[in-house]
Amino acid sequence: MSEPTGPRPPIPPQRPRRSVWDTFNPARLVFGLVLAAFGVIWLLDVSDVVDVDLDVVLPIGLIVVGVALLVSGTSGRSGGGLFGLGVVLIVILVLTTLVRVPFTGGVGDRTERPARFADRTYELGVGKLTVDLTAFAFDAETDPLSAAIEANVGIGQLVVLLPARSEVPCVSVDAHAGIGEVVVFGESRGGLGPDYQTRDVCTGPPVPELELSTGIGQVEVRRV
Amino acid sequence: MSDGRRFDRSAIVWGIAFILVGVAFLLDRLDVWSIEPELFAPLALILIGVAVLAGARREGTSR
Repeated sequence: MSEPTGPRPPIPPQRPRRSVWDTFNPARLVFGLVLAAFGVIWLLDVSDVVDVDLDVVLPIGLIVVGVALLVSGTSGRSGGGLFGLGVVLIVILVLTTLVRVPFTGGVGDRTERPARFADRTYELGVGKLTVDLTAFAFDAETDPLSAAIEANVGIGQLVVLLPARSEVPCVSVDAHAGIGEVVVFGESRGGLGPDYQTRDVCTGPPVPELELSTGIGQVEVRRV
Repeated sequence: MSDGRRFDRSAIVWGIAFILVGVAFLLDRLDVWSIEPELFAPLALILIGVAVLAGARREGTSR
């Protein structure tokens, strides 16, 4: 058999192999995935299926957005909405770091007067919380020598009233405000993130160890 | 690049920045490391400056 001598038919050009990043826009892909993931997490949280700590979810979301931008950039794409999403996440993270606002504990004005000297935790979302420690009973035989008293107000005023120095000579104070003012025994500090830590010279129990904070507002500690 | 693929320098810089910032906040939330609020303003300025530098080079040369 003789071979055909005519011109060979042209070989059709091979299609270049397309990677997944050529098929999908990585920025949009991850943007959609992050939004959907946040939605699912939120849904599971409000449905009480899982208890999600948003404090951890937001930074992880930012890392995912960063990885997506990196991949997007290496494939020659600009990232589009990912940049905006990342900036929004950073703004939320910065604000929640500056102002740790616990929106638990309700709204309004409340006064707490513990009857016994013991560890306590009080929370108020928005309003004025007064912790009156002027009337607690203390029994050196049965009660602890020191007690951690923690109080947090999201937005508003937190006032702690202490007995006279003759009754409670020693007190430890760790007070913080995200934005606002901290006034401890007449000494005032204000602005962004004012702190106050003090420990009196102890001469004997009971020693209230106060851990006080407000997101936005004022923390005041005074003796009556 | 030999395969003709181009990089978007600005997206890469912002991607790395977001990853670093995200890791920092994650460590803060897990109480492994504490972020000092006083660092926010200067760090933000550094990040923006680096990103502007990356973007500026892209305009003058090939991506």
